[in-house]
Amino acid sequence: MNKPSKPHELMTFEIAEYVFGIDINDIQEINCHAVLSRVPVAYDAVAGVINLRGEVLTVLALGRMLGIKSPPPNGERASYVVVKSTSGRVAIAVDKLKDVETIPAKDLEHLPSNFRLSNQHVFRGLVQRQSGILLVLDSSRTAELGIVQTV
Amino acid sequence: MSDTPNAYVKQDEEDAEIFAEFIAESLANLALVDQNLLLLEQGPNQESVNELFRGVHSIKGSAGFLKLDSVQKLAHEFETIFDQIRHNRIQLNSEGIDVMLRVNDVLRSLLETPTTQMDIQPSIQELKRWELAQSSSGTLEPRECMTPNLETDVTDRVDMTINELELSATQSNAPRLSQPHKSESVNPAASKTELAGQRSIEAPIASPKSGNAHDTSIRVPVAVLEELVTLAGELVLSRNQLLRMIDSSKLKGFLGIGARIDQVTTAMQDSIMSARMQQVSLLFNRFPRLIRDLNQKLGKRCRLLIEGGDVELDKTILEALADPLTHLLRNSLDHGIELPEKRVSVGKNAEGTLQLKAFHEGGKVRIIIEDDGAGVNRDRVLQKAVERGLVHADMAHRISDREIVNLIFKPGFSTAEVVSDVSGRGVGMDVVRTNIERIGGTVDVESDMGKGARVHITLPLTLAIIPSWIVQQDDFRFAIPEAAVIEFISLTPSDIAGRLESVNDCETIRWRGGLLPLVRLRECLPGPCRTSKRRQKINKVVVIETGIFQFGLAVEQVCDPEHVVVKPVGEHLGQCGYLEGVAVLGDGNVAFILGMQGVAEKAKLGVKVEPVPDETVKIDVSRSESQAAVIIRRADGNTAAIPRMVLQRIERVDPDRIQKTNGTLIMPYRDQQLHVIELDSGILNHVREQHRDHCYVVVFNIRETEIGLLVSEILDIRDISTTVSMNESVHRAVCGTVLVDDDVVELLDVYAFADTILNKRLKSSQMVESSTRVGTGIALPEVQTIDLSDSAVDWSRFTVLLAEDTPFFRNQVRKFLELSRFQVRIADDGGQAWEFLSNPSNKVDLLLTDIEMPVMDGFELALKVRSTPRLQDMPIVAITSLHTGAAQRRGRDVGIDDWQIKLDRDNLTNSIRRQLITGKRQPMNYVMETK
Repeated sequence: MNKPSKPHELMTFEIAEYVFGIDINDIQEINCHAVLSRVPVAYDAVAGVINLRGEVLTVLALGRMLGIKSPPPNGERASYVVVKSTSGRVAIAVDKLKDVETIPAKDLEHLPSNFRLSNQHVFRGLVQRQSGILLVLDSSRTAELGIVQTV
Repeated sequence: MSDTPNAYVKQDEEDAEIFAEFIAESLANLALVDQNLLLLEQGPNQESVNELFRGVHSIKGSAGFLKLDSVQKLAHEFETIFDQIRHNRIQLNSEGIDVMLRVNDVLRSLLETPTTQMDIQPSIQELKRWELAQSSSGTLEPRECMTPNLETDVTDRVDMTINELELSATQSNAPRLSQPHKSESVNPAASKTELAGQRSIEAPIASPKSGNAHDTSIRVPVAVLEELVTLAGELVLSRNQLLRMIDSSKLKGFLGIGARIDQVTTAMQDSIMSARMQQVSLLFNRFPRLIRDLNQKLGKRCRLLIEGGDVELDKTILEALADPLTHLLRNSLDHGIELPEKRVSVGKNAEGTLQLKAFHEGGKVRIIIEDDGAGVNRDRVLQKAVERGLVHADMAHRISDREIVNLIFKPGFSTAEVVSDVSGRGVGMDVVRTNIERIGGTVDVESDMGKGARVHITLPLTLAIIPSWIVQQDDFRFAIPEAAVIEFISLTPSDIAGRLESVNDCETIRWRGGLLPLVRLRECLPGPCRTSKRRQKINKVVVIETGIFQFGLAVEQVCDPEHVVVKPVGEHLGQCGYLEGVAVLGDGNVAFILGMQGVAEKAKLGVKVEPVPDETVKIDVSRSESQAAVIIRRADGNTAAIPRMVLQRIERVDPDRIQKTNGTLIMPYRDQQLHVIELDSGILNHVREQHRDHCYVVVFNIRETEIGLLVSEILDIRDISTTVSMNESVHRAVCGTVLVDDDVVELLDVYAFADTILNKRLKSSQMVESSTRVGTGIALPEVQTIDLSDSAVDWSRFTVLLAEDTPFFRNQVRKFLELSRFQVRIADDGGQAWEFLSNPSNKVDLLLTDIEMPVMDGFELALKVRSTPRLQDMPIVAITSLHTGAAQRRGRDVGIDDWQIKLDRDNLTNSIRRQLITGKRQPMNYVMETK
């Protein structure tokens, strides 16, 4: 939001009935056929790990962290959006990949006060489009979901 | 104040190397400072302040001994401010950050262009102005007490160095310095420089930058190498898939291509790995200078002995080791070695000795820093620790000496009474420990009050690839670094009742005559990850030892050993504490690397109690000793055991990697060719016929050469009894049989076997056995090279007394000794040995003794020998199947000179020879790899 004049280019994807967008500059890649491995820890934020060309990435269960109830329609069909952030790279498990959309900066609105999802600090805001509402994520805050800040 | 250009006068090329490294390192540190300053701008953050402090501190330290005075001075001011901030005496604001970033830039340009004369006063004043503004506006008064001292101190030093400059510029230094440039005559600029007669002090400075004359290597960012490692790993996986595909589709034409890709991939991975290895001398070579300068600074006299400079370590590890080692050496000299007068008054040589040794041990690299100074003052350490709240006063009397000594690694601990610029700001030992643990190593101090202290550092060879054991628990696969594993215990349900014991609600297992805390891995996993709610059955137990903990880890299943490529875990997973990394296994699955520290914490284990020397336990454990052995299946279906101690390592290999040339089997192994012999002829063909994708090669050393023994199947690794029934050999490799769970198992003598096979070849190829040399090849006058070969000395004039109660070992060792032509006398236990020794008419040159013996054990025997004046100089070598640090330490205390493994023939005979020639009561020798 530093340069309000510049439009946002967002990669959009679905988790359950929600549509999310994340700045394409923060995305390293999209992966549709990695195999999710379970991990011997029990954190809500962690869905597992994937092996991405030899690099093992933590997969973030974004839906679960936002309090979205319905499980992914089919575990196998999950895709992964690999996000670069200050704390390293993290893969976000999404149900369905959509498109890249260009959104004028002025269209970005604050979340309404009755917004229902948890962990609202990960959102930069929302965009009302004809096809529905697009929730815009802050990539580094999203990537840090579930990391307990050590003091 | 004028700057001191002479600061950069270098004495020789070695110094130039050190210098260039220092610059690179300091620049990296400065970059960190920048980063952290920027982080701090976003809000207070203690971690960043600490990082800043450490970064600047190490620049200051290195600059100090390279005599970069202005850098040192500026860094010192800088550090002082951070110290204030660290202790919340002043607050950092954005104005302060501006100032500091500017100072950082000045430091950077000082380092980047060391020749330019830059006035650092404005920067110092700027810093002070800001500091003053802060402290007057708020919290505390300025640190007046410190500044003036430092001023004079620094000024003095600068004056001194100016004098040195004048001397060195006019004297012999100048011509020598210009020499490197003569070889660069192709470079017009360089020759012009010389012709112009430019001041020689400037010339060498330019060389690190323009030094293209001897560049046969190029600098590659480590990140690029790491990327290559990753990609090579991935290539291996793809190769495996490809091979499977070729195999199943029966496309004969592709087989050759597949095999070729296979070979190339493996070779590529190996060479990428070796590209990361560097000799430790690269680091060690800086230290003589450091010690010399510290000697001058502190008024001490101390010489540094370096051994093992040719040991190789992964670059990342070596780099990470620079600061901790510098610190440790500095500490040893500052706190350990006494002033010459003091030393003389307590009857020591006026000149102290610091030893820095590196050597391989069991797949790890060990570094030992040993001094003959005052040792760690136990009481003062304890007192400080209580004062600083590191130890609760009530606990004070309950901690062991060893734990007390290791308290110096606690954060915030510094016993130096005066804050000097050598050491003593409470930054140091804790950082040393953190840094070493970060690279997967351990550090441990032991001290002998009045006699000296010894720091042990154990390091993995490489960070990237760690030989590990893969274990399975609740459908997860975990990798346990081999370095942390002592042995595996396999328990049958009938064993369990007898060996499990509960002490203070803590489960323990009887092991080697002591009680070992037991941790069930399932209980470390969070509930949702367990496959069953039931308590985990005890079946396989991995005995784990880290620097701090020793415990048994019960796991469901032990799979294969595998060299895993370690990847860091993301922050999400890392916060659980017990996962240190992840690894992609050969089959593409993911294994998690268990951090033993975390596991121990999860299981709420206390700090390691020294192996419980519980007498009652000792008695009811059967008197027979046990030794770890690898149990294998032979071609005829029989099982056989090889003592684990004689093996260097166990490699799981693809049978196709072993090639037959000229009747000999050769396997690529760590960039070399490993000569492989078959335990039963035709195993390799057999394995290939069965289309097995792996077999095992156990590697051991014979006369300094590594030999691989090919076996088709490894059944277990476990303790077996040492009660061996001898049978006159049916097979040349079998030296007897042992009972393992009521099965008769053949005990193999791999040396005898290898000898028979190799001798045959030796004769036919007319090879000459190379002489065995002791000592490393470093050109230090202190390190002697002694010819210990068979021919050099008439060994038959030496008599060795062997005290050993187990008939099997007695015969084996006796055989070894007689083969080496020693005169051998035998005693069945310590009592007999003592009886023999106490008769002055019996001439004995060396005592070789077992530790665990009836009547009188080896420790007691050694003690008795040492307290008899006539026998005080007789070397004592202990042979054992237990190989614990605690036993070794105890051994040293009672005067045992060396410590060897019973069936390790070569090392044993070498050690005896060494002791006979040189061993007049020297400090204990560690089991060293002699190369």
